[in-house]
Amino acid sequence: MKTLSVVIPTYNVEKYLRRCLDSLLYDSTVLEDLELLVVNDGSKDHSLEIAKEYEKKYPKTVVVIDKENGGHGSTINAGLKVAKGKYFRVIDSDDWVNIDQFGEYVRALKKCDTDIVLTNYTEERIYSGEIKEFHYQNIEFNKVYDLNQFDYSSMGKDYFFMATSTYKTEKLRKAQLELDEKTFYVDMEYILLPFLEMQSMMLLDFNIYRYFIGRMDQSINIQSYVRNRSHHEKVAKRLLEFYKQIPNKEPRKAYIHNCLLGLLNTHYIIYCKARLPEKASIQEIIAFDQYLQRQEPNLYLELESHDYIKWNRKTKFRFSQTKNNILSRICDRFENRRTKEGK
Amino acid sequence: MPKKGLVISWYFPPINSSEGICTFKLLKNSEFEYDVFTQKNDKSWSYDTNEEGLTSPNVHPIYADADNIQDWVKKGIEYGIQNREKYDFIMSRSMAPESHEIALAIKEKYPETLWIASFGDPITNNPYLKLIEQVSPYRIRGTGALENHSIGYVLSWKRILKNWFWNYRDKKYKKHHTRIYKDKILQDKVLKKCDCIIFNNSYQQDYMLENYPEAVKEKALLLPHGYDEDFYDKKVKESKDKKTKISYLGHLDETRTPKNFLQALERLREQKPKLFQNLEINIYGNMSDKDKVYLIDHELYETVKFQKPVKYLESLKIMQQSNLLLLVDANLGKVIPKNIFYAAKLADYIGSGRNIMAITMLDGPSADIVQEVGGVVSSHSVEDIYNNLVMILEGKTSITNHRNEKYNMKNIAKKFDNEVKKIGGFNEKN
Repeated sequence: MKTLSVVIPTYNVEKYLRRCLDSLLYDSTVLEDLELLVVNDGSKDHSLEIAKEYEKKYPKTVVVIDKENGGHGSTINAGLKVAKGKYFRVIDSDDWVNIDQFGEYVRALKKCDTDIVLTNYTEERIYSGEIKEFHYQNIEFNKVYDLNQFDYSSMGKDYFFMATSTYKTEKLRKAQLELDEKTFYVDMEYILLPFLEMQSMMLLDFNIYRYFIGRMDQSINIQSYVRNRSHHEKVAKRLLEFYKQIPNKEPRKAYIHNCLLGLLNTHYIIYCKARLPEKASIQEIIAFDQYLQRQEPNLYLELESHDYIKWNRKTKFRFSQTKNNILSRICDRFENRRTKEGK
Repeated sequence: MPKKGLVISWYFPPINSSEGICTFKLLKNSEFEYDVFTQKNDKSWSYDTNEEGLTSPNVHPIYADADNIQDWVKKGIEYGIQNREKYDFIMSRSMAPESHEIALAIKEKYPETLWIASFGDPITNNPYLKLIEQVSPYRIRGTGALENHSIGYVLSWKRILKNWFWNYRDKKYKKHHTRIYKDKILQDKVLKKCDCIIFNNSYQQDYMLENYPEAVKEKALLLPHGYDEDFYDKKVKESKDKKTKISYLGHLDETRTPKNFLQALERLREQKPKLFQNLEINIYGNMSDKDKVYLIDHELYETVKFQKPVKYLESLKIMQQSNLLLLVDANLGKVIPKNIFYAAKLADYIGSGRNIMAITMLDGPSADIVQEVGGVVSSHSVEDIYNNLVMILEGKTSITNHRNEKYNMKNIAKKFDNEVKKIGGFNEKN
């Protein structure tokens, strides 16, 4: 049995794919334990040819799945169906892994038995040259945590991320994880939907994932958020439905609640802080706001801790339309000051 | 009788400058005869006046005795207008943009003149210059002002006054803005009035012609920099030393900086000391003082040696002797999302047949070309550079140099000649 299956969603990444695959294949001592599932999502460039070249060179490690375009979530769904590894993780094809630690990490996974294995990651904002290392602050290395007993409040905003999480494959299958297709921003679905199925977790002392930020067409770019805001809404609504089904006595509901607050805040930011071209967008956010109020009044009210949301609601979302969004910016300033004083 | 062109170029051999040598290589391989209106008094932005060996029977330089570039422009216009009848076409080459001023004046006087304008860099809106632009530290930029500064600071009279004084004292600032305006008008006129526009890569073409109508876009001709196989000494072989020889040849400065490469080397020294000890790295040309100090402060000077600039043909020999050729482009990400520059040295690297590793923006001509010929491309990320170096040195990545014929100057010159014949209506008989 393979130790780790890595799904590499691949769409028009001919300039990046080699870097990603080379870093994963660098340590030849773990190739037998490794399964790289390169899921070509209908690329129009030479990505598929590159992937096949690697499959030919590493037939026991690299598997190419070629499918019609269906979005990021569809590639993970396709990979999960065929994955043979004990563990499963996703590495985007424009990112890469730390070659000095990846082999050790795979060897460590062999000995692990927890449902989630966490590792730290580094964010590279390549054009500005900024490098941000992410470390879980309040989780001890190599300690097995029971997720039902875990104190989630100690995590602060150090949530589980796609870049940090390795899951047991059988648990993902048991959770019947099926991400939305043709939809951006499904990361939160990947993190939250199988979460209740997971029982234990461990943090390994490795910094594996290199998250490459700075391409103009990346989906986390604010213009992309604006363009694809309906996708974000779709994900938010699906997760709100999921949240609603969770019984109140579930000890992990509070954690999911906090994650959702973050996601919803992002959704309001798209509408209130980025400059949206169409006036119809005001109607969209008003409709979403009313939906949230009906579905989850607690979350709705909690979001008012953000001044810009509170004032926008009072002004039927006209507040953000001020020249240069100046009122929102003033709100942020006061809010930041309050947060600092609170700390 | 072969057709004859007048080429206007501020830089030309014997001045050792990249632009001049590129022009020379194109003309040497072209089937036409050329007079090149140039100068050899001003060596600024070049390495020296030592390229006497670069001559060709079809290329005849005319060295104007000009004290400065304005004087050269005046003499160029005079020469062009007086001798226009001698030439079937004219070609102006930037850098420096003033060569286009001369050609523009000739075209305005004689509109029937066939004019080819060749661009190395954009004249205006140059992202490289934008990156090094000096901005007042008291200036408040953009809509994020209130997030980064207090309202009191933004509205403070002291800040406003300091900003005003800073700008007033910095005479360059004033000149700079006048210059931007002039350059914009010049570039616009050149693009609209010339008959053919040469770009060395499609990224630059798209960048410069983005807002122009189809009629202007249709005049574009893509003519990449190329290598001239006659200039390589076939007897020179790749180094077989135990140490891996890595060379960088050309201009470096604070913007086009090798700092990330040096940091990657530090990591290599720490993580893979054996690989590091096996390296011999030579940097020929210019380098910023900051980077030289960095070499010393971080004790890299025994492995990375800074060498004086060399003559062009000598530089080709060094390339041939190297095991790996390094290309470093500026990270322009703060200004534009894609690189638009194709450094001429890359064509010479390709011609040498040695492996190439480029540190560049992943969207841009250098990345495309290096991948096309089989080289390795790294972003400016220190870790990406480190990973690539390790994989190259350990033989874990495929790297080669196909010496693609597309970049052979003979083929490029043929494409140029055909285009000139087409737009000039020259056929075999006339």
